[in-house]
Amino acid sequence: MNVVGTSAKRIDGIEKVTGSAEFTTDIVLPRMIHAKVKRSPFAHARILGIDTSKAEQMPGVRAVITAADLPDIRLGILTLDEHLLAHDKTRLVGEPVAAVAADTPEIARSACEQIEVEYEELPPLFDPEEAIRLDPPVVLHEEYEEYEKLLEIAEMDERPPNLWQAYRIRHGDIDAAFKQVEDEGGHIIENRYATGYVHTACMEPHGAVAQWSSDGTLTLWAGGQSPYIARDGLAKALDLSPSKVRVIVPFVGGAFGGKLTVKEGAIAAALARKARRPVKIILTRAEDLSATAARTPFIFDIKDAVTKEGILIGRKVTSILWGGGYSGEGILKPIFSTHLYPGSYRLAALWVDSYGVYTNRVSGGALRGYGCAESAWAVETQMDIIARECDIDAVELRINNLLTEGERTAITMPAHAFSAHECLTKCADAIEWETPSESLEHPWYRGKGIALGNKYSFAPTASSTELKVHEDASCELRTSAVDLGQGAYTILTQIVADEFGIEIDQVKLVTPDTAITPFDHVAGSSRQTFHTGNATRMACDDAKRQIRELAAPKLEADPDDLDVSGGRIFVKGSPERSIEVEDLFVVEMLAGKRPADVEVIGKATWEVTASPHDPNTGQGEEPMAYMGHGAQAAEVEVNVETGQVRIRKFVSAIDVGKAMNPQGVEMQNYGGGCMGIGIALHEDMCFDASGEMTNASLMDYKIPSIAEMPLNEYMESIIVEVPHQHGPYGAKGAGEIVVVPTSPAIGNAIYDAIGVRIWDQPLTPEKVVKAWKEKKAAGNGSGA
Amino acid sequence: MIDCHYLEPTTVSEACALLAEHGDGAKVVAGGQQMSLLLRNGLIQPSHLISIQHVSGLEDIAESADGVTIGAKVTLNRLIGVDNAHPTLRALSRAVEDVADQQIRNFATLGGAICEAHPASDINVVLSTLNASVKLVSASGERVVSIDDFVTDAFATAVRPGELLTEVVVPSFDLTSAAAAYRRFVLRAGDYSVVGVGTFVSLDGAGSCQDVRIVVGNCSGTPAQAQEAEGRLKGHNIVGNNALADAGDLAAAHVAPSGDPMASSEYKIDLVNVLTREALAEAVALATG
Ligand SMILES: Cc1cc2nc3c(=O)[nH]c(=O)nc-3n(C[C@H](O)[C@H](O)[C@H](O)COP(=O)(O)OP(=O)(O)OC[C@H]3O[C@@H](n4cnc5c(N)ncnc54)[C@H](O)[C@@H]3O)c2cc1C
Repeated sequence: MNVVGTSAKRIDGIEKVTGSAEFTTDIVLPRMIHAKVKRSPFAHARILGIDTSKAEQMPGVRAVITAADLPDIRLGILTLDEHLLAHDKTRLVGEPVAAVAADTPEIARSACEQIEVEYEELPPLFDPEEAIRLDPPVVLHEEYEEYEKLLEIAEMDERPPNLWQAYRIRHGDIDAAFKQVEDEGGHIIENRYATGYVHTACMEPHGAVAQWSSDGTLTLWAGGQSPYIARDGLAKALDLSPSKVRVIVPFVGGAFGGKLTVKEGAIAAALARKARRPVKIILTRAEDLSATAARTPFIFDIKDAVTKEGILIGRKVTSILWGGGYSGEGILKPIFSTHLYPGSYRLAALWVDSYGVYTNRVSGGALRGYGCAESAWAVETQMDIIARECDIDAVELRINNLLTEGERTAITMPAHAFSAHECLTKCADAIEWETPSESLEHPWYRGKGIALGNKYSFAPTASSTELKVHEDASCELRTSAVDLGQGAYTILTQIVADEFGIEIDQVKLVTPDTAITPFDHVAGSSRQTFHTGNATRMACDDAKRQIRELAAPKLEADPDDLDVSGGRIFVKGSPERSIEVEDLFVVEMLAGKRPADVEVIGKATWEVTASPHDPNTGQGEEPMAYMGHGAQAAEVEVNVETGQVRIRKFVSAIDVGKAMNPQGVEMQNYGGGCMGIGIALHEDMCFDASGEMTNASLMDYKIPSIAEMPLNEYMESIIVEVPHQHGPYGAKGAGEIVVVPTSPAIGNAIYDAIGVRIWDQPLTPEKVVKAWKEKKAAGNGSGA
Repeated sequence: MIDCHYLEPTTVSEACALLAEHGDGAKVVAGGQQMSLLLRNGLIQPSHLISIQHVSGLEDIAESADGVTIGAKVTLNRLIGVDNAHPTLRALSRAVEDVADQQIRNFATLGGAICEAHPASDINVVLSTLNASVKLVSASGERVVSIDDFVTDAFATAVRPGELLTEVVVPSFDLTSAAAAYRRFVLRAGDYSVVGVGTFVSLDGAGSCQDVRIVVGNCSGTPAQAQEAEGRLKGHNIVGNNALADAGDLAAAHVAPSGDPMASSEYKIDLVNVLTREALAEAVALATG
């Protein structure tokens, strides 16, 4: 039965479409009350005192907490720099300072208004280039040196006081590369790029429900990306043993990297403990947009050494990640973003200095593509500029610089299942790259652009699963993998059905619950199909091994000569010698059935190790689990008078190794394309001079609507399948690569149309008009 | 929590009586599209909400020699396509097609859209372009006010406590020689306009401009007439020459919009120029076509 590779229906589809799927907000527990958070109105301030007495006396208020009610523990992913509730200082507008639990959300909100906080305002720091100075005007974390840190950063003579990440790559002889190009009259191309502030803006805002039981165990329901990261984070925040925390993940309405930790869940838990009642917290849309982690900007300075023939031989990059008040989930971005500097290209010399700094804005978090979607903007625009400078076709130039199978990138990532060439050429064919865009009537211009991308999936990492076989031959998979909407549950179900030769509806999933389901690292980094998929196959094998051993005496055969499929166990080569799976189960005295050997539960752990890279050179052994490839191309129509950019046609050619569910991959291509278009052209968190976000609503934060997308027939998805040696059935992930090349593809198309570059995202109509006017003023003619 | 009385009168006079009775604390709610946001965000705390949902007689569209009268409760969706029966409303009908989205337009009323007095309102710009006026009824009588006098500032109108807007009158014009058009620019479908420009032109057979009106939206608190641009056109031949482009330049030269996070002042001025020219071109084409 080949279920893997078919577009099996989403197993959660009916529940979601009919509204019966349970999300965090749907959970109602007896005696449950509601929490609201009191947030800092200042970007930088010292807290002199908090008076909660008025709030506590309000009817209906059940608990009020401040930092004084919590253990004095700093939290963080790798640099522990953040208290759950602001301790002595607040470092961004919206930072939680106190919280209230009350009978209704409205009472809790009014009570928050009654909490009096005395602040001493401190000068805020917003500019990352000021922040990184050795003598910055403001220092955010005076006690940084004392913080616990789980990651070594690059050595520096003196650490700029606001710096929390430094990473270097030193590969090859960079000076020689630039000298060679200078001597032979090649091209040196240097530019500065920037990305913008982007929010995950999931349909479901952050939220959680917390409940304590009498034995001191905390149960938390929260739509997060990783029940185990959540569990450990809660345990740390509340000073509990992890075994005292149970995290259950209901359905999740989108995450995209924004739900790695469950800070609001920890606040709800602390309130629930004090109030001795279950507490629900659901952030408002404004809180969700302004006070949860965002994709914060990068600044990239790139200088490339290119031979006359268009071969890239040296690249120098300095980048700064514009972090916020805390290092947060963005902590690894300055490292992981470097994967795109070599990208899929051969690079004899690479020199990188990559930093992350504190500023008094929203903390940096993950968002689909974790650093690579940002660095791709710089690198793949740069490739387009190089092609034009060298007068070589942009596809050809990229192909001439590509690695080949078996080589390693300048940061030692092996080019395995290396499909960049195939993705690029298929994408180019679909957009009819060889045919220039039609001319339109002024003020409209058409143009095409293309970009290549790749996306690592991080390591070290592990996934475990358990597979229980029931007497009716149905299978129950216990997994902590999370379906965020990407279709993970369907894929895993398909794998079990395939391995056991049974129908999809004979597979049942036990979804994430740390009291029941085994460890899985996270639904992130495009890792679920790859890692959990492998673990699931292995758990199936383990269960089948147990079945074969139980069946062997009955069939008078060696277990190795048996096979299990479709609810039967049979002797390989003579299928008539078989028994039913059911026959392995014996009737017990109280009418319960159990297998002769008590239980058939397969279990497995799939693990990928990695050697840590030297932060001073960026060199090491295999740094990541695998790398996925993809190319995207856009044809745009630009109005030079209004600056409007319409995407006329958009193509994604994405390599997934093996399309486990082709329709699911297509949905990733379309959905990712839409998200990428939004990031490229529309989405921008804006802040006023005090550091407050000024467009914290879906009316003002411009997630594009369907009207901004190309018409159906102009949105094309191409699935490329170059199997990976370690992927289940050869599969790689698809979740993130789909937004990596999007922005540069669109930016390059705008250049093709009107001959202007916009260096900082998003590429808004206003910036288009400005760039066009500057070009006119410079007397460059009509460009198109 | 929203804590107020919700009243549902069924006639205009009943509604006016309730408004008079409850004074300043009483607010009218029609489709509720803006009102629900005001309430949710705590921007107003009315003591009484007076819903006109069940008030009869505010849903008619009628045409006479003087013009078209539209009841305050006519929903925006109903205005789409209304120009088939009432060609005078062509520009209004077309403009409404792009306002907000289907769900909002199903509830949003024309009266509510006018009274909201949003500085980026497309509807008030079009109505101003068309020289429309509104009828205000109170327990003590009624009065008719032009849109230009009605909208006094951003989110501010000439409505007095106790008054209800009952209808809008769009005066008729000679459809064979005059036409109106509206152009807007949005960052995303369904958004409020960054800038909108309404134009009305009346031409004689030789292409000379007899009458013209140009109204710019979202560059100040109220719809703003571009008099300098109008001056460039009125009494001149405007077909087949630079007149419309000049008018665009002049309109742009005389607005001083404040910038916002999504669009700077400079950019809005650029848009005024482009949209004025385009809206004029469309009106001229219709008037001569
Ligand atoms: C998401 C969104 C997008 C929008 N986009 C656009 C757009 O692109 N262009 C545009 O022009 N508009 C836009 N609007 C505005 C929309 O047209 C108005 O909000 C709507 O028409 C208001 O009508 P309503 O019947 O819902 O008014 P309500 O919300 O019920 O009332 C609005 C105001 O008018 C008062 N009021 C209502 N009726 C009367 C009356 N008969 N007499 C006296 N006072 C009255 C109320 O007291 C209140 O102050 C948008 C609105 C939303 C919510």
